[in-house]
Amino acid sequence: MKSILIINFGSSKDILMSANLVAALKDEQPNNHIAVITHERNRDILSTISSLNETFFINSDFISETERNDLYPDSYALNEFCENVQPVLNRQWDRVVNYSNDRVSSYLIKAVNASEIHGAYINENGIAKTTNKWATLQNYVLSSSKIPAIATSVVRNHIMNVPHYSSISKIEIHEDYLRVASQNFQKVRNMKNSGNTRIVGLNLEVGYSGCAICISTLKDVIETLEDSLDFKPVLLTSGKSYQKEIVNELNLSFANKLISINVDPVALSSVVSNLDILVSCANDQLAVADALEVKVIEIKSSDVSIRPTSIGVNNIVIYQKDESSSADDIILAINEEFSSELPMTTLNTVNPTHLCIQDEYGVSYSQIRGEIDVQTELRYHIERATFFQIMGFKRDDQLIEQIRRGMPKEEVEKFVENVKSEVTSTVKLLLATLRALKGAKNSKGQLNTFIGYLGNLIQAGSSDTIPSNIVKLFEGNIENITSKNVDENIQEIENYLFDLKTNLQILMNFMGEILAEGKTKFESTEKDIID
Amino acid sequence: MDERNSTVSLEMARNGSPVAKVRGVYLHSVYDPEKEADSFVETYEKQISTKNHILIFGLGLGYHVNRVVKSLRSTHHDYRVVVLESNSELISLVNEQGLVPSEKVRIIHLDNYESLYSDRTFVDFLMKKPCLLKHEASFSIDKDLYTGFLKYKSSKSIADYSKNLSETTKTLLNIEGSSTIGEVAESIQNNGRISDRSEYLTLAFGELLTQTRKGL
Repeated sequence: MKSILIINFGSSKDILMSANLVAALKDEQPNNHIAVITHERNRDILSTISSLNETFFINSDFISETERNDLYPDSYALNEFCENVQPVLNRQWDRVVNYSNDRVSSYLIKAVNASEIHGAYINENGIAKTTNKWATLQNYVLSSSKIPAIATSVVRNHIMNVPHYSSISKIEIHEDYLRVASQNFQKVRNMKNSGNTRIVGLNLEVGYSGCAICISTLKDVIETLEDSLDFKPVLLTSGKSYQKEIVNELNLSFANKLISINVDPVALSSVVSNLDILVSCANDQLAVADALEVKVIEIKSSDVSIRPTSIGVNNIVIYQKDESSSADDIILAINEEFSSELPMTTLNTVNPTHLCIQDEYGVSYSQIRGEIDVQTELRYHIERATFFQIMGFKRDDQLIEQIRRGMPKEEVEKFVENVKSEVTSTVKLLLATLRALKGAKNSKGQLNTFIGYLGNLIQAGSSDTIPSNIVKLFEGNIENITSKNVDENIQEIENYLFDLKTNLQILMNFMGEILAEGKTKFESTEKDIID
Repeated sequence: MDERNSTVSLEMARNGSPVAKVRGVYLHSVYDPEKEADSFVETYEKQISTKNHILIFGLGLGYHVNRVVKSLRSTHHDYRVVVLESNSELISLVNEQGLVPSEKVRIIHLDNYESLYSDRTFVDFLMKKPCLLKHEASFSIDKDLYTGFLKYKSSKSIADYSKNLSETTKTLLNIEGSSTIGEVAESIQNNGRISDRSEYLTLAFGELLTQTRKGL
């Protein structure tokens, strides 16, 4: 049995995401004592997570308000903060993880008495450090990527060296609420007398990024579902005034016959678990449904760089480039899920629709419909596969086959050409750095020259391309060097430079494989430089 | 004698209700204090219907306070009222005669801002962002005192508030001197060296403020 503290000063999204980690840690050892410290404002949403043994809260809003407001002496903020953290600090923990990967957690983790710490932290010299390669990947690569190649919750489980999926239930369902909700939903199911009515939850809460399902889409979906004997729509709200306005407007169009449920966070899981499918933007309700393995259709804005929140296998993600076809896209997804034949106006959508799939690496998203940006899609899948291989997983040969067979050859060639060009530039810098390092090893007078080359190489990681991201991983490794001895430092940097070379080679090999050319060598005379 | 505790005299209004008089100023209508209290609540009706925490400047004999309570009771399941009054004799009179019987009302003697803002229960109340109601007659008698309360600024110097730091805070955070807590955190960062748990906690505290202000 181990006592494990999860430091999570993220949003409600981060809290719900951590349900995967809690479940995995319990699955690993059912007697593990798992505690979380987070903001007081996350209390309700944290209560939905199963298997937690202990919770601690920092009243951040009170602390911030009393410190900010000139009326109050700062003693209030300081006393509140210290009283809040003291119970955590008074304990000896076996393992502590910086889950939310923010600066509060990065400092606090070093104040806690722990046998092992995991994730990012700030060391005694004020420098950000990471405890393993997954934490380095999160802190130096994924946090600055426009489209992170690996889902955050997957990376965070790897940081703790536990799998992303587990057989343990992740979300707490209160029996009393469940009993009432089940009875009420059974009545709703019986309303159409079909014997097999499925309930489609339409969530009116806006998404984390402000995305919303427009009223005309809701009307079209409701009309289609209401006309069918097999489906019944239910509107889900959290009591906000804009949601009441939407419900009123919809009810005007449907003769006040719509069912709407106001769900508070504690009853959320009981309600959501009764749905057959949930249509929702990315928000807490969706995350709970996802964790309960309720089928989800996630609605997003047109920006495909905002990655899905849903990580449930076979869930659908619809990016609304053209809102006028969103209703058809939702109905099509429902038809596919339940083999139904709800009527649609068109099958030719421009909205990119993604399917959430499970593979050997975990969860990924593949576009299955709509206007496709092949370069972006290739970038996402190849970067993901490359980084998993860098992290020690085996190569994704299935992906290589899929790209060879399923992607337009000219697009693949264009992609490969760009990557090769970027890798070649990076390798030139890498080789120059290695050459300078050799000089520095022979003469300390060459140390500054080497540092200059090293700086140029790290600078190559400032853009947002796959080779750049591989350089960022290298930069993270360099930042993690702890030795104070110059010779040991140089040796460690050299090792990481060769790791970088290996990682770039992994990417190049991938490029060769997808063009069915076999392994691709760097276009350079590396043997002249590397002994 | 402190002017703020100047003697309260009682007279009868035309309708037979008592009216307090302080420094020559009648605190209520000399005709019908109850009706005046009704008007007081009508003036602030919208605020009272939307806020369940009310801060009233001036107690008088509590007519307006009781009327506010009645209104709150009809519109809110839970509510709290705090009355700030500068005249301690008036407070004693109201308490002795049980003129404001509601347990939801707290009457506080307004004399020392610093001690008032050191009262955690009062600060918790203020954090609810209460609706502020002025009892004009009371307010006019001690305008400077009430205005001073509204404009008060606490010292941010650690030395000035160190007596209010809890034992837990003193144990966990090694802070002292005339700097602000923000300056202490900045100094640790500028030193380029985080030497102990106290400094890590100070930096975590600073980051928590930054994070919360950014709405993260």
